[in-house]
Amino acid sequence: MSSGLRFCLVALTVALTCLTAHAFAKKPLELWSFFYYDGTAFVAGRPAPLTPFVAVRDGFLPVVETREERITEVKMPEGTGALVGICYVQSHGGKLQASGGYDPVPMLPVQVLSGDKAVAAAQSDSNGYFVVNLPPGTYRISGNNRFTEVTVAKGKVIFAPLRVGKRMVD
Amino acid sequence: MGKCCKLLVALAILVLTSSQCVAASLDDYYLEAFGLKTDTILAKALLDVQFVEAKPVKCNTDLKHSLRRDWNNLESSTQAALKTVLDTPPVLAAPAIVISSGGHFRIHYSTTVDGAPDLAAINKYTGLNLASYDAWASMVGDIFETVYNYYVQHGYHMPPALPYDVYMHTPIRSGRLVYGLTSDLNPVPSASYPHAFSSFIEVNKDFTADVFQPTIYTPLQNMEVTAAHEFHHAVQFGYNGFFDYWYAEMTSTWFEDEVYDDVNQSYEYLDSYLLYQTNAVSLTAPRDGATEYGRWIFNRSLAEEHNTVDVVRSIWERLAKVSPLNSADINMVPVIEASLHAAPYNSSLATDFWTFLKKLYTRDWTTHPADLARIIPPTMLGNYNAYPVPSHTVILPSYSFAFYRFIPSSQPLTVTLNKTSGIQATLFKKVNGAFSEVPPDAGGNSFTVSDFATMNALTDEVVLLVANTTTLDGHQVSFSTDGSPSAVSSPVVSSGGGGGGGGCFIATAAYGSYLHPKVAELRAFRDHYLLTNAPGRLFVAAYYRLSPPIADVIARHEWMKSGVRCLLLPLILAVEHPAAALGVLLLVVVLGLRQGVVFLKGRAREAAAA
Repeated sequence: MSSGLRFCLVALTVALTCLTAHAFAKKPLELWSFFYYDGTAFVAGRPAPLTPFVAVRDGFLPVVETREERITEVKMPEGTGALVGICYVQSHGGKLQASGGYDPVPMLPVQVLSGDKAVAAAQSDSNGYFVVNLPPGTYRISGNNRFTEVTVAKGKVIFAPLRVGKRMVD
Repeated sequence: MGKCCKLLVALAILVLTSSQCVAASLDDYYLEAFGLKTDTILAKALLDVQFVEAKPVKCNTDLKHSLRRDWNNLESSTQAALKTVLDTPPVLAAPAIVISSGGHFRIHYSTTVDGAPDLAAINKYTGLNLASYDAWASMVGDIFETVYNYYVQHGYHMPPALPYDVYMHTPIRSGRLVYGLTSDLNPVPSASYPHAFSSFIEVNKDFTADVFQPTIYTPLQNMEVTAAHEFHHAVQFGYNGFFDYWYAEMTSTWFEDEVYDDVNQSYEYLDSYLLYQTNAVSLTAPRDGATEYGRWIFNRSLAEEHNTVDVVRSIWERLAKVSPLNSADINMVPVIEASLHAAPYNSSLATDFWTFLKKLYTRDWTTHPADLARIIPPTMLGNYNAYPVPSHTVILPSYSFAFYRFIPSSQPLTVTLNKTSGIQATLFKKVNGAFSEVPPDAGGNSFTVSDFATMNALTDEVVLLVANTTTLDGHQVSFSTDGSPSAVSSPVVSSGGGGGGGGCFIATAAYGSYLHPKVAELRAFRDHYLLTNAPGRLFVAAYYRLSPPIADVIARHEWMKSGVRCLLLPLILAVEHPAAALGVLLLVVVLGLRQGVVFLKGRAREAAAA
């Protein structure tokens, strides 16, 4: 085998090793998945700059932030899971211009019910988001007399968009 | 105290003072914007109704959104004052109320200079001689009473919690004026209406802005159709707050012309539905702020087909009994379908949709004869005058249609079709202004117009109507006049994982979580690079057919997961680092070629030596 070919093979091996190592390398931020609420559901990805997003990582409490560098790790207490939600008013329609969308509702009291019993309470933040740490189980989340049902699993984070109002535009 | 120390103290005071100023300016901004600014900080802290000045009111949603965003930066006293602003319904500055003549409505309006209706402009456009805000508000109350009585007479259940609140101000969405808003308030369940909600309405205070075309539709007419439209939304909330909004808009817009037949504003919206350029519009599409207003014409067809406007009410009554699944809005298609199947209608959505489409072309409308010319003919997606017409294939979304025109020529015409099971098709002939349907040939897959050559090319025409009359998107039809339409393939029924947030089954199984960053990468790649083109969509469809059972096996065997993760690595590398992956690929190809050349040269040398 010629020395040129050997050099190329070594270079290819090194390149593949580096790429593989890079893919396997777990930088702190890469351990988190990013989601944001798009008006209909929580979707994977990062929203526009300075728009709130949810950083999710199994075994850790979800973080609602606008800047990645401010994400702080807080482990979920042993044997619990977490839910992250958003309180919003949904709008549809618009004769003169499409005006559908959603408006987050800040400062809204949110209750977590197991059966008819309240087991936790939270309040939506200034962007409408709320985070609750809970033992595994099925719960009803309540805000402004509207409900949604969620099932929390151990060590996992689930999303709970909570529509607390509906508005027809035109 | 030394000079340095003094300087530091001065700087500290300066910084503290300016931060206070910034805070105060933000607080003042919102207090002023919502008409709640008082003269002094002390007054603000002790805010009481008596301190409120009559300031311009801007109770619009965008401002409220900004307020919510900046909420944490406001002083607690400001938060206390503005908390009511965030609560619906809107807070009007210097408010006044008129109770409508029938007692069913409370009409709220502002009496401030900027917040009150523009009486001079109203008088200019209407010829009325209104002398007070109160007179205009009373007139608005009468309009709402007329609408109320119309719906009562037609058997509708009225919304809970009367008298009903109507707020006249300047509602804005996305920075633009809107005709009106109807928002839900609270659940008001009863035995017959377990999912009913109370609601309130906001309407533009005078409709004198140019955007409302006050020279075409007077403020009075705009108020009439807006009242008919918005109050039917209130009725809809009273039936079941989890309605699907496209049918809500279709119904409310249809009623604009049923209650006020002389205004005719609703015909303006037909363009959005009937004059499309390339892609057919689904009757049931959840599209926002566009075609749903134009789709009201289907309700007219329904009412004509069944000889009663009650057919639409039956749909809303049926919806009242349907429970939402985990508070999600209810798909209206099965509700409409069930209502049309039931007596006395004994029909189906497919049947009535097909009848409606034929009527669009033949213009065989039986009601509102004076307004027939206002119903525009639908777009012809193709106009053919050169024959033969080669094969053309169209893929249609659920409950959508397409028309194609054939202009007479000097030869007979045979249109041959190849279609999937969800497509209905017919061929019309228009001769001397009279419409007729061409019967299909034996076998049903072609239509022959034997007198095509004798038809007048200037006034006559042959028109092909094809439609998807099912709930499934993607039914196809191909047609040609040379007897060779292309092959078509039936739409793929989604297994629940394809596209728009669905799962990548194998990767999810291998990584153990839908939330895993690598799975998110693959999902994003699918959505951005595969689902945006035909070959990619084919690949995804095939993947979703084949992968669930494989994923199931992987998910049940822990030892397989790490192996599959390793196998997925090159794919993830390619997705994450496309340039590097391409480079490596090229390098491998070059090396392979070089190795091949060396090998061949060696063989040649060996052969020469031998």
